[in-house]
Amino acid sequence: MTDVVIQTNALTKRYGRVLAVDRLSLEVPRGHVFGLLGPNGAGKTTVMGMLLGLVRPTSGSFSLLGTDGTGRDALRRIGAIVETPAFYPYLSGRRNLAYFQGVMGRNDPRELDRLLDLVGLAGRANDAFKTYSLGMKQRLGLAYALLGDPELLLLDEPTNGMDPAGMAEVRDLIRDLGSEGRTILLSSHLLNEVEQVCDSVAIIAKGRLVVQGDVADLLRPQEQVRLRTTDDAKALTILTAADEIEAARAEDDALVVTIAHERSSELTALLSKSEVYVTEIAPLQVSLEQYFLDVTGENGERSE
Amino acid sequence: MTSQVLSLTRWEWFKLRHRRLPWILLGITALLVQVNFWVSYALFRGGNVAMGDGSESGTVTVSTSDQFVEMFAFPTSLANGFIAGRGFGGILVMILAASLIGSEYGWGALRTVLTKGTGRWPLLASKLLLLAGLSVGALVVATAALAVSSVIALATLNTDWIAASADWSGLGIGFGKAVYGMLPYVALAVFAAVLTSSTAAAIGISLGYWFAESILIGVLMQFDWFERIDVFILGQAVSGWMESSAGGLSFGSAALPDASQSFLVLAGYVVVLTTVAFWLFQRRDIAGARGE
Repeated sequence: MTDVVIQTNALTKRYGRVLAVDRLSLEVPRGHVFGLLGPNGAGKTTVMGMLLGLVRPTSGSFSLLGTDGTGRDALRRIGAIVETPAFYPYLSGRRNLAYFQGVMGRNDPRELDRLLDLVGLAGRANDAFKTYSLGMKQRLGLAYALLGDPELLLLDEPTNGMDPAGMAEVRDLIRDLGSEGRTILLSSHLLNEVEQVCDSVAIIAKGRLVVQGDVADLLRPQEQVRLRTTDDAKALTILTAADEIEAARAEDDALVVTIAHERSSELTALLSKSEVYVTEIAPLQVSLEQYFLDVTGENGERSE
Repeated sequence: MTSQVLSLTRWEWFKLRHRRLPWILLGITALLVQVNFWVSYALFRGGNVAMGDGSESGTVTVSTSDQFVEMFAFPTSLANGFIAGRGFGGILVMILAASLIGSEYGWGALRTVLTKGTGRWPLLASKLLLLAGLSVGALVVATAALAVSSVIALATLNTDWIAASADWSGLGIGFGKAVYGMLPYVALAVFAAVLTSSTAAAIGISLGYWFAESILIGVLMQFDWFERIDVFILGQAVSGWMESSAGGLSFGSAALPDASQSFLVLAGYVVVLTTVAFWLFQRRDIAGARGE
């Protein structure tokens, strides 16, 4: 049995004439840190909202933790933050958490202490939520999501509004949580965040799934090397004719060859057989960002 | 399900008791009750009240001075307080109900609550239960404030503390009626808050309805046919329901609807408004914070 924690089947949400999510079918395997990547307005938050029962799907279905997604039981095993964490502004961080722990039917002050400490809010726990910075609100949101030790986390833009140090801390925390065996669905428009934190990724644009797979698998075919040789014209002819080379092109007085980095030695061996010698070689890696822009057709317009 | 609703009600109270609004509204309730009581007292002491022969003009007309003094004696002072307070009591409870529900949308916290697997139906039920409980609590505080005022007033009037026509059982009935009379206003404000997902809009609709209805009743009373349908007007039904427990003073209003009819009409308002509110709350998508 495939251990899939989240499965959506042609999930669709339409707001009047706007199609926010279009027949989205996703599979999130257990234990993965799964990135849901897309530009602003791609439908990421709507997908999260549907999974959490906040938004009613127009059509399609989904399952969460083995349930059909319409019941509330699965939600008790899930921790989530959707958009900017929203709490009661007049209550302190600690009282907010105590309230949400209470509505879950639990009352464990030690858990509150542990979580506030984990997210670095212990020193401000008794201050009113309305006095928190956006970064602190995000931290409290993470503490809230972790209430009850959930096996699945849905995190919607969890580092939004944080300073670089805070972002790094939260990413480390997410990686740690993932290494403990939790499944995490992380929605983000920050490509490097997904690249750093996630095992798998689904890229969505305009509500549609563009591609889904392991981050490493998506990037591997894009590995390239840049080289100069004693005879670039001859080298290009050899490389384009070779079956083991996926692609080669001339670019800026050099050659760019699509090949896995660990196979670079095969490249030099191939050329040397024809008495063409490599004088300079350097690995190139197309970032997930470049890949994302290519597949979503954003054409270099960053959504950040 | 019941235990979940009760548990949620407890945590709703945990949340609400740390908020300023309910305490401010409670303070206003106690203040208005006192103002109402002491204005009547001042009018009496100043001789601005018409006595039996009707030779003087005044705000309140009673048959004898003794009967008026009974206004300040137990339990009449408390029962009259329930009736006099029905107007501002309704307004204050509507403000509280609209805020309790509407602010959940405004702050976006409703999403956060529901995300933890809290059922929508139990959550709204717990809020209604808390509002009903707070209505009882506010009435207890108002009654206690009135009792203190009565003691002070009676000490100055040098009269019996217990009214000659004392009916203590009527006091309990009056209390229950006052609570029941507030429920349609709670239901109206909750409905408006769920409908508009906004505190300000819910307060606007609830109070707008309250004042528009008051004006409309004043106009429509000129027509004979209005007497046949006035029981279906919320304010008239509340008046009919409450005045039937007065047992003392009439404040010069026209004939009011029958108490049993009023009871049924109020029940109808509560059932219809809460049913539609539950349906909307259960069905609608929950958006993020609106910044109210």
